[in-house]
Amino acid sequence: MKSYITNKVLLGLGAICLALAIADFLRHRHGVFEVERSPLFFAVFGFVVYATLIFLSRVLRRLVMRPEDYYGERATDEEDESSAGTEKHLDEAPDA
Amino acid sequence: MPEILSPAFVYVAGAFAALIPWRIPRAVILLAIPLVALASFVSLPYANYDLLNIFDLQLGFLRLDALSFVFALVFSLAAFLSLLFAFHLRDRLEQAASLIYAGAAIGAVFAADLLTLFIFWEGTALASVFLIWARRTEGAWYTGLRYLAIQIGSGLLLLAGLILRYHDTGSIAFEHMELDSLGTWLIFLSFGIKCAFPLLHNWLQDTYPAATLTGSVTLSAFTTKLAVYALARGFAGTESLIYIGAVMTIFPVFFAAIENNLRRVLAYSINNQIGFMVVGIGIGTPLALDGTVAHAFAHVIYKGLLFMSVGAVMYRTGTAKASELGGLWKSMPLTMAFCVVGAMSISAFPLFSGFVSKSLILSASADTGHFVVWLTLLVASVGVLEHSGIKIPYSMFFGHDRGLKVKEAPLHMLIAMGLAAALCVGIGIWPQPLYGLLPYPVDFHPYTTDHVVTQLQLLFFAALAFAMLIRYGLYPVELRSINLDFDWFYRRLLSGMMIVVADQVRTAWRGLVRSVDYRLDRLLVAVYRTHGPEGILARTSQTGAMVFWIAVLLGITLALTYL
Repeated sequence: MKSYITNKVLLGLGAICLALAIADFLRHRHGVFEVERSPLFFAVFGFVVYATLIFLSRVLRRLVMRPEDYYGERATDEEDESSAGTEKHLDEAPDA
Repeated sequence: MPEILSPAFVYVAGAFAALIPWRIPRAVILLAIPLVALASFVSLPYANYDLLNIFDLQLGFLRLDALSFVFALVFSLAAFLSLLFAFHLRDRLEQAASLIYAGAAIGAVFAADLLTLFIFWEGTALASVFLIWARRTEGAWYTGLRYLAIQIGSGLLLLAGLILRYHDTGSIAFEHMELDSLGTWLIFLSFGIKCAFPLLHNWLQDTYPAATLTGSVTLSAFTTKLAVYALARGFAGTESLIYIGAVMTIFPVFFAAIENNLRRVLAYSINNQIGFMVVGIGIGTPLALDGTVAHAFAHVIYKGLLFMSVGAVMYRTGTAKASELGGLWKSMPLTMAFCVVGAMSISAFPLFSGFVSKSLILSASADTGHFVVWLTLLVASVGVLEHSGIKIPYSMFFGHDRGLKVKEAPLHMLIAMGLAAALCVGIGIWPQPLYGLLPYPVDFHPYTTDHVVTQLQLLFFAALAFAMLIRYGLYPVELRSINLDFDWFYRRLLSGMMIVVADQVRTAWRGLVRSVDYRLDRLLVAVYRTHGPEGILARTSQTGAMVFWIAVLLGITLALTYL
């Protein structure tokens, strides 16, 4: 299966990030809190927080993931989704 | 003064249009109803209309001021867009339910007293459950029942609260309240349930993925935003809301990241976005409240747009599960483009609507010195980018190409998505008209170099992290699964306990009945023994015996008399 995140995409994103990092030194620093005014705070924050969120989610997943039929027939999770009004379902259904 | 009625009644009357038998004329007329209702209040000067005095209770059906106007306006837009998106629908029940639901939400926003609010509050619950039941499956039936129990419960708390409040203050006016009595606490809790406060939130993730694909677009607009309105009206500046809101922005992020059903991802995302608004209400300064109202306005539109794009994909492919989707950008390029607009709006990219609305709340939290809250909101902003900004479009249109060959979404869906996307970009580029509608004058300029650069850094470095995690296979794989959340406690633990209790009660009852039966049998046997045909007390000699004993008694009496 083909991934859409190729090295080219990574390089492109990297280039944008580099440009933004340079722009950080050109901006007029406002902000109420000291951290807001420190260089590259938002860049580092975005990267680190994103990666942390994903790793914590993976831990959470180990604890809470269950098969789709966990709640049985009293939930819609394992039902055929076409009943939610997909094209195929509507074509087959009679006029309400 | 001309006779004015709440626009809610236009919707309720309009719901009868669902009886029209021809599909296309019906859909066109339904589409006109939100516009007619909007026209009925859009040019009225701000005032209180439709006052009614019943049994000394002052009712008001149409309180028009800046706060109610903005919410009613965006609700009208949402009603129009979701009806347009559902133009193909043949299910009249769902069409009527959507209209009554939208009307009830608008009626609640215009309510000037708590009793009117209560009536429309329950109206939204009763009408909206049919958007779930319209799926007509067993799972949807039970999900609808759970939803109804919680929503009606919220309404009953509101009723109890308003009665206590009337008892305390002699007024049922819907105004700013302090959390100083049981009555106001109950009202607060009622609003909190509909607002999906942490631990009261699971109805949202339970029901929105269970509704029909058109129904979830409608659902996404009204209920929670009505609660935001009610909190902003009743509890602005209540400090606890700051922390409740902050928690709301954070915890859904983790669940959304691992959730497979994209409609449920969006439901978690509603929690997260509502959290920002609740923080704004808690801070309660003019800037913060303006931020809440602006964010609610922008949110209704971009969230509707995201639900529409997932709905359109579902309509064509038959699924909204990330594990079954991917690579659709080739076959549904326009839907992809609109979805990306919605994703960039919710992630607050500059030039999109979320940027000009969320900034007000973040700025208000910083101005009031809430450092931890501000930092939390910043983390939550990265979280939004994760689940709504990246995961939603990526898993449908990019990700793993599953070789799905489908057509582009139908024209009416594309128009609905296009209009919503145009509003997202329009508000983002030109926020002044929205700012002009807000309750307080806005002196805020989102487009400073500093703000744009820092926001872009936050978003692009996070996106870089995403790309690297994907590239190195560390991003959670989409799996057909569900994840346990707090609702496990009432769907499994509590219902399991109920089963055990029911079992015990049944056994005890059976034992009781059996022992009573046994005793009754023994009693009857004993009675039979004495009074039956062979019984000692049923002998025919009984009459003779009585006569004998009376004779003895008389004899003794006689003897005693002559003694």
